[in-house]
Amino acid sequence: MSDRICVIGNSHLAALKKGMELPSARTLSAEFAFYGAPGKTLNSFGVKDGCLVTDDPAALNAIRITNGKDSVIRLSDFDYFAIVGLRFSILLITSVYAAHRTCQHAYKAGAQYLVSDSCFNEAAFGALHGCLAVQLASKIRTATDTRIMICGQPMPSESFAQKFPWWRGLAKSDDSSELARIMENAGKTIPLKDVTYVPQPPDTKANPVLTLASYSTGSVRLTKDMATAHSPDDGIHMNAHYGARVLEQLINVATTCNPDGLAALR
Amino acid sequence: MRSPYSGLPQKAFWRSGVSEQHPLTITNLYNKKFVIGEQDKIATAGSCFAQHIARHLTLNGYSVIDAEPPLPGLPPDRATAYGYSMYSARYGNIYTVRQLKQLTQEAFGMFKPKNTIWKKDDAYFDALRPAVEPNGLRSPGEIIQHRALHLKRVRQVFRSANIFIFTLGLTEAWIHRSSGTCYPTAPGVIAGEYSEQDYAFVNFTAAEILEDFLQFWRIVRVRNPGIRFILTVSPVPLTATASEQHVLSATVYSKSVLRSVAGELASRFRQIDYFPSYELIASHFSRGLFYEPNLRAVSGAGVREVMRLFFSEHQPTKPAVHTTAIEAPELAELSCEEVLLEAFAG
Repeated sequence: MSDRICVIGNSHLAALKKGMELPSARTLSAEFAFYGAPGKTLNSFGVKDGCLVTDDPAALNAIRITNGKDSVIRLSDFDYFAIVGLRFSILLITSVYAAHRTCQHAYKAGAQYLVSDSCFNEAAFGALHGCLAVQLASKIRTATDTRIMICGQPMPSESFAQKFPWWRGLAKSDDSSELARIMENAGKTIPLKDVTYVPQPPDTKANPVLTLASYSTGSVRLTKDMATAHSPDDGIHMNAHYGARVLEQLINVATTCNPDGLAALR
Repeated sequence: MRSPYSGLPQKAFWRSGVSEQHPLTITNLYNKKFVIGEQDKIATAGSCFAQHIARHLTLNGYSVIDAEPPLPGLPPDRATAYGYSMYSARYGNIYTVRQLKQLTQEAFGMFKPKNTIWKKDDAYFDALRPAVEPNGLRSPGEIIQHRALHLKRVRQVFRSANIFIFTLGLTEAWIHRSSGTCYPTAPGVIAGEYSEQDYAFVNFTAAEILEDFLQFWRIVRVRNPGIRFILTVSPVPLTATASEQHVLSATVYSKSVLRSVAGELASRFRQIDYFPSYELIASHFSRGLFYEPNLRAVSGAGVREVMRLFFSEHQPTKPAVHTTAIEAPELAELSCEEVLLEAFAG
């Protein structure tokens, strides 16, 4: 019997669900169960009697629709948890960077306020470690020791940079590597036991802070029929091909974390 | 028989004004001189006790200027550690009126402080606000760049404030001998190295403090003619004195001088009000009730009473939100460089 991975997420879950429909997914050596809802409603979930539950009817409905059957997530049913999106994102770091920069930043001339490296890093780490993804992981951790993986939101697409000149400038500057490095380090230091950050597959990136446009074209909304496309200039959500790469990445990370688990199945 | 005391209100007499009152219910200790309007923009600065005032004004719906807001994502306790959300700009504690005057002069290009970069290990500190970057910066050049941007925000504060609330904290300070640059902390406390050759101890007199305030006001008034002031005196005693007096005598002297100056300014100028938080907390009327066991830190109850007194005259524009988020900071240690002097006690 395959290991079971519970994948919980917001709108970014759609890419992974669609990825499961691709032929390449047939070779994935794990069983995935998807549970999705808008970020705000997922925040209403708490742990009760070993289950992730909520009183929010909209959240329950969303979970049931995305899963196809269950509206209750029984934590003991799974060998791994994966949390997708939920604002673990480079956008949180750029919200810090928008006004506050350090003297090391290439774009310091645009700073409204200058701060030390340590202050900037604390803020960026604080933003990421306080985001919904980590909050949800924290709730799950109160009820189970099962490993949790956090897949950050993908970097925005190249089309996003076309829409926002400011972002285009950032992407071209040396600051992009620095901000991506901070995100990586914040992922590695999530202050919860047995929580692993799953970085974006490197081959999906156009540069440190952008995803290749080919991975965003044709992205869809997290709806019942999974057939409603995002607007062409969305730039934030990714498509099935991206989702399939993340699913592979999840299995790779799970294998690394627990060689006796998934690896034994191969 | 007629007497000039006949017909005076109850507050004028010790028996009815004090002996028969309780610190938690005293009335008429403060009567405001002017109204703080809903549209008034308030700036705050001063010694560490002033942080309470700024925080509570914000919580009660007043428009308090924050020209250097904290970074999104920085937890509140860490924001305070980096000098954010304490005052209207990230200038840290301004203990003396000389510091206030020099900051304003520097911001408007009328004074160039000297010896302003201190070192500790491999890190560099802005000697005029050494606590706002607890780990220091990488180079003297960074200090200069940070300070230039900070001064720009300071100018914004003084140009835009309708009301400036300032808490006078200390008369004692350390200055750079050759330039007169006045520091918030002694060299060697947070960073820097003390040497008798470079630094001197000063204990400002009432006349000096009064003149410093008037000079500060002249500089601001040119840019912001309508600005008004609410002065308070910090009830927090000195952590240590370099005056060769006993620290208790030095504290009483220092607070008496500051109270005298604040009183003179308030009595001479209609634009200056005095708010008696010092009397409520520090006078024997309160029997030490509002101090923590160390008889130095003001308790949460003390802060609440001070703010009750303030808001009894300046009604909040919106109801206070009573949550743990409000209560917690009162009990937390304020960001107060002066307390670091404890480390030098034998």
